[in-house]
Amino acid sequence: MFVKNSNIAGLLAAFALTVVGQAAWAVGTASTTPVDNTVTVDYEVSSVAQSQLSDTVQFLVDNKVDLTVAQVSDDNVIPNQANQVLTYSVTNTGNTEQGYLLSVENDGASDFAMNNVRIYIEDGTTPGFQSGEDTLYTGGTNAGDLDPNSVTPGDDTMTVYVVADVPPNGGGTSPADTEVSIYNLLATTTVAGSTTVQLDNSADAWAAGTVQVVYAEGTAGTNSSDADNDGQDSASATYTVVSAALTVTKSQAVISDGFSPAGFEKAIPGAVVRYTITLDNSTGGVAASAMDVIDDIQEDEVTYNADSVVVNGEAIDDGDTGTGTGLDATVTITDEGGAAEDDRVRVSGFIVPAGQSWDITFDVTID
Amino acid sequence: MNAIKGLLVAVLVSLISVSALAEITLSTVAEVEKVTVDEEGNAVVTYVPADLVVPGDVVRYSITAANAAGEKPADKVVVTNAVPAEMVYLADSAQSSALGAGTTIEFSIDGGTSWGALASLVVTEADGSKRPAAASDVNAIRWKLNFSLQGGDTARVWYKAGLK
Repeated sequence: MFVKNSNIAGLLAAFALTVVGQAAWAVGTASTTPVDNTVTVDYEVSSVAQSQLSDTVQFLVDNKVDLTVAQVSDDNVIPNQANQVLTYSVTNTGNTEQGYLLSVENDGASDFAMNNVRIYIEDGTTPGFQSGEDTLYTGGTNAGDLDPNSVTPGDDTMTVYVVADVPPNGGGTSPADTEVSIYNLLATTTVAGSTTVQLDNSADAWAAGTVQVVYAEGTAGTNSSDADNDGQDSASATYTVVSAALTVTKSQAVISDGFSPAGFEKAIPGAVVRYTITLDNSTGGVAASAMDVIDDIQEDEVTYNADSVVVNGEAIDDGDTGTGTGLDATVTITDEGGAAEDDRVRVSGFIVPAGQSWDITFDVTID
Repeated sequence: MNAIKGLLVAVLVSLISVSALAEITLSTVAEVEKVTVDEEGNAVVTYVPADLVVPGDVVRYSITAANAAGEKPADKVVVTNAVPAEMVYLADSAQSSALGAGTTIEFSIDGGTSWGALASLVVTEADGSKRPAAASDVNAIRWKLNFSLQGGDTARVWYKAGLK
């Protein structure tokens, strides 16, 4: 039993060592670490061993400023939605604890700009963006230090949200379906615990025994302020409009005049005219919900035919609500003034699914 | 008895080394490998003093053992270099300025307890399984000169390692 226990303890110790070793390897040797290379020489003279000689050279590991800004998720949006979220990660891939300034720009390739653009930092309590929980970032401040040398997972990375409102919420015109708005998040490396930008020493003469700073993040990201090896990195995430691309058309046809043969009806008094309102969402990315169609008829010339409303093939009596799947339309017929007769046909509260085209028809009789 | 013996040996060694007058001097230089691309698009490798070193950089350690002119030959010269814990030995980078009958380069993966050609070394994993040693397992290198370093001669050996 004792042996068993000690075996397990040994195994655990080995495992722990492996994990720590990998972590240290993954992040790179911390800056300021002195690296000593010691060499010895043994030799003999005339078959007699001589005193061993030894020599050591040392260098200090310098500060490799390396960071990675990456897109985590895009967002599909609908015009007028508030607080739509793009997600990014900012990771310190260097060898020194650093702070970060954040900024965001609307990419030049965007079709439109979002309103009320803000940056939030995930506070770690609940994954994903929560406006009441995550931290609203104030421009020019340090978004938080990231330590690649920490043994605690996650200390080297933060999740950043760009949160914005889709026009026309807050002004502007409504963007069209499939239009995009691209945001480039830029992170600038600062000295840990401060807003002082971490400058590199590429232009300075080397001074013995000092830790110098090298920009090493490589190729520039997408932000227009980002350059190769400048201590900054950036990445893009995209809002794509998937609004219901609804088109509404109205047509009319005389369906009977009491005299003419089918196909040759004339718009004479007493003839019945059928109005067709086509709600075409066939190219839309999402359902058009809370539909409300109002048609005011010209009461002086025509009279509404009671119970003549048909929504996508289902007849719905005046004042009733449909029962078909997705057909919970309510038909309301009212008198909106003028001559004392019904003159408004309203079909409300239904949904036109994405990719479908629905017809609403109703009939009137020419006075 | 043992202590007296040890003392005698120590005295003997110091006497002989004084009388033999072989004067080996040892120096080590650390340089960072810089790869640039010339106008023809060829990679040009240069070495600069290891002043600015960050993770991923390659450092070349050059070790020079010189026997001062006019001294007696130094025999069985062995240069031993522990690879710093922060560095990873790069495969096939241990070299020697071959003089005379050449140099035997040996590696250790256990900090210098056992030595051999890299291909002969076996790593035992934590779970007991075994695999051939890789260059990254090397934590000490030694160069055994198979010739006598004459007075006035210099032997130069080197290896390269990457900073973790």
